[in-house]
Amino acid sequence: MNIRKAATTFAVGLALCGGLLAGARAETLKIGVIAPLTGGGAPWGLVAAEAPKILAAEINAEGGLDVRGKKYQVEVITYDDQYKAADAVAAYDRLVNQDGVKYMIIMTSAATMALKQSVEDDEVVALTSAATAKAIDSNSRYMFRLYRTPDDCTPSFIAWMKDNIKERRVVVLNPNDETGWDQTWLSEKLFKANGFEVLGHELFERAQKDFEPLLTKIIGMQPELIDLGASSPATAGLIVRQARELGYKGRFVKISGPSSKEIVAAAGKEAAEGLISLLYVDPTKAGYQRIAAAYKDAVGQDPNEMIVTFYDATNVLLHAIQRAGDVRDTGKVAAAFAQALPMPSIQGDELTLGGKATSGVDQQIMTVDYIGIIRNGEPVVVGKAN
Amino acid sequence: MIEQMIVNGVLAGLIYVIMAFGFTLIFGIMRIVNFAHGEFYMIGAMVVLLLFGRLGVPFFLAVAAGGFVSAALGGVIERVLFRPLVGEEMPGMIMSLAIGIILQSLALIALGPAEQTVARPFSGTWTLVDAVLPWDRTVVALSALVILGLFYLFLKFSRLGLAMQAVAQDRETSSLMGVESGMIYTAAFGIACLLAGLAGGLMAPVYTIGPYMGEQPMLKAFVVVILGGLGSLPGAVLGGLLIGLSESVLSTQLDSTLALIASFAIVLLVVLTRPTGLMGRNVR
Repeated sequence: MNIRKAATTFAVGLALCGGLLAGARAETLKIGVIAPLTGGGAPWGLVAAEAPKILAAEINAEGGLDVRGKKYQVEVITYDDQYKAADAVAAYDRLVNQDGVKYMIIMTSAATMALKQSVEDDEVVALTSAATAKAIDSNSRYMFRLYRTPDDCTPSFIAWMKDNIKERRVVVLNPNDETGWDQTWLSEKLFKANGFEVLGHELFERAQKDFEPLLTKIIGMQPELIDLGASSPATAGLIVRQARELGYKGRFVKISGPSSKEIVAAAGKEAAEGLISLLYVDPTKAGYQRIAAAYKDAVGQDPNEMIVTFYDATNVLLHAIQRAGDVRDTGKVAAAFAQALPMPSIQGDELTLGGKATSGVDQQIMTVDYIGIIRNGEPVVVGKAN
Repeated sequence: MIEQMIVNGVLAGLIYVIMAFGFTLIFGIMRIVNFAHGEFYMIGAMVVLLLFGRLGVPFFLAVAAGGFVSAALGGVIERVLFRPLVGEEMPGMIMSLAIGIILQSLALIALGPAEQTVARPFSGTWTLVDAVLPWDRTVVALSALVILGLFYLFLKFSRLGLAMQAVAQDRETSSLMGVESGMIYTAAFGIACLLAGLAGGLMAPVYTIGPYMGEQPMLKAFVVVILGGLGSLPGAVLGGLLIGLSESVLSTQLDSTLALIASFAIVLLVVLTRPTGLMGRNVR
C-alpha cells in the first residue's frame, strides 16, 4: 500500500468514525442538573446530581431510552451553583446555550426563582425541589415541582401527632430565613388548629452551632414538644443533644426536611430516642436500598433521603418524554406529564400529578412521605403523611 | 436562669479566647490578619475525627496530634507563603484568604461535604449552683484554661516567648539585640496554629465536623481581637469573655439574631470610641 492510498483509507475511516460518533451524539438525551455540589447544601446537591446518573446508568445498560422505537443514551450534565442564584444563572446559560440541554433539575429555591422566567421563555422542562410556594404559579407551564411541599404534608403530619401522642405544649424552632419563616407560620397555625398549645417560636442563624443560650430560654417555657422545623440535619442533631444536656426530658419532632440518620449521628442514639420525623424513605424498601447502595459506590457516603425524590422525578420526566414521543418538542413533553402520571415510585407508592390547591396549577409530583419514630437509633415507619 | 446564662457565656467565651490568642499573636508579631486561622481549627478537628473517631486513639492524644499537625502545617505555610509578606497587611490578608479557600477545598475532597460527628469521650452533666454543665464542655473549658495558662507562662518565662514579645514591640530594635526575627515568625505562626488546632480538636466531639466548620470560630476570633485590640493578649481574654457573655445573655433574653447583631454593634462602638480596641496600643 503506497502512502497516498494509506492516507486516503485513513481519511475515509476517520470520516466514517466521525459520522458514526456524530450519529451517536445525536441520539443522546441530555439532562442538566444545577445544584450546590460544594458548601453546606452539598449533601442535598450531591443526591440531586447522582440520582439521575444512577437512573441513566440503569437505562443505558439496557440499551437506552426508547422513544417511539428510537434509542437514546441518557447523559447527565451537572453544574455546581454553590447555592448562589448568580452561579445558577451562569450554569443555566451553559446548559442551554453550550450543552444544548432542554431538560433539567434545579435544586434550590434561590436558583429556581432566578431561573423561573427563563425556563418558561426558553421552553426548558425543569424539575425543581424548591420549597418556596412562589416557585410554581398559574403561569407555570414548563416548571414542575418534584415533591410535595410542607404545605401538602404538614397538615396530615400534625393531625397524626394529635391522634398518636399525648404531648401538647410545643415550641417551634426554625432557621432564620424564608424557609424557616414559612415553616414557622405553617406549623404554628396547624398546631393551634389541632389543639396544641404553642408556647412560642424561636429562630436561629443557619451557621449557628451553640444553641445552649437559646435552649435555656426554651426550656424555661417548659415545653413537652420541641419542633425542629426546617433545621438542617446536623444542626437538628446538635439541638437535640444540647437540649438533653441541659436537662430537657420532652419529645422532639422534625416536621420538615427528612434527616433522621444525620440527626441520630449528631445527637447520639440515646438523645434522639423517640424523635418523630418526616421521612422520604422507608429504609426497609428494596428500591431505596438499591439506589442508596449505588450512591454509596459512587460517592463513598450514605445518601440523604432526598435521593428518592430526584430519582423518581427523573423517571417521571423520562416517562413523559416517552409519552410525548418527541425529545425535541418540550411543549409536548410538559403536557405529557399528565399522561405519565400516576406511576409507581421506586418505593412502590403511587406518584400522582397535583399541586393546584397550593399553586393554582397541577405542576407538582405528589410524592408519598412517611412518619417515622427513632427507635434505638433507627427510623421506624409508623404512618404516612398524605 | 442567670447562673445558666453566665455558665453558657463563659464556656463559649473560653473557646473564643483560644482562637483569638492565635489570631492576635500572628498580627502582633507579623502584622498579618490571618483569615485562614479557622482552617487550622478545622484541621485539628479533622485529625481528631481520624485518630479518635476512626482509629480509636485516646482523645487527648488525638487532640495533641491535631494541634501538632496544625502547627507543623502552619510553620511550613509561614516559611513558604507568608514570610515574603511580613509587615504588608493587605497582601498578607489576601494570601491568607487564598490559603483558607484552598484548605477548605482540600478538606472537602478528603472529608466530603456532609458534616460528621465523633462520639463524645465525656458525657453527662453536673450542676454548679443552679446551672447545668455538660461534662464535655467542662473538659473543653478546663483544657482551655490549662492551655491559656501554659501559653502565658511560655510568653513570660521562656526565651522564645520573651523574644516574641520583643519582636512584637519593635522588630528592628529586637533584631539589633540579636533576636533572629525569621525564626520568631515561624515559631509564632506555628504556635498560633497549634492553639487553633487544639481548639478544633477539643471542640470536635462537641459540635459537628466539616470543611467549613472554621468559618464561624474565625469570625468570632476576628470580632474578639478587634474588640480587645489587635495584637493584645489580655485584650483577647477580655474580648472573648465579653462576647461570650453578651451572646449568652442576649440569646437567652431576646434571640440569637439580635445577639449576633449586638456583638458587631459592640465592636462598632468600641472601634468608633477607641480605635485601638479595649486594650490595644497604637502601632507604627
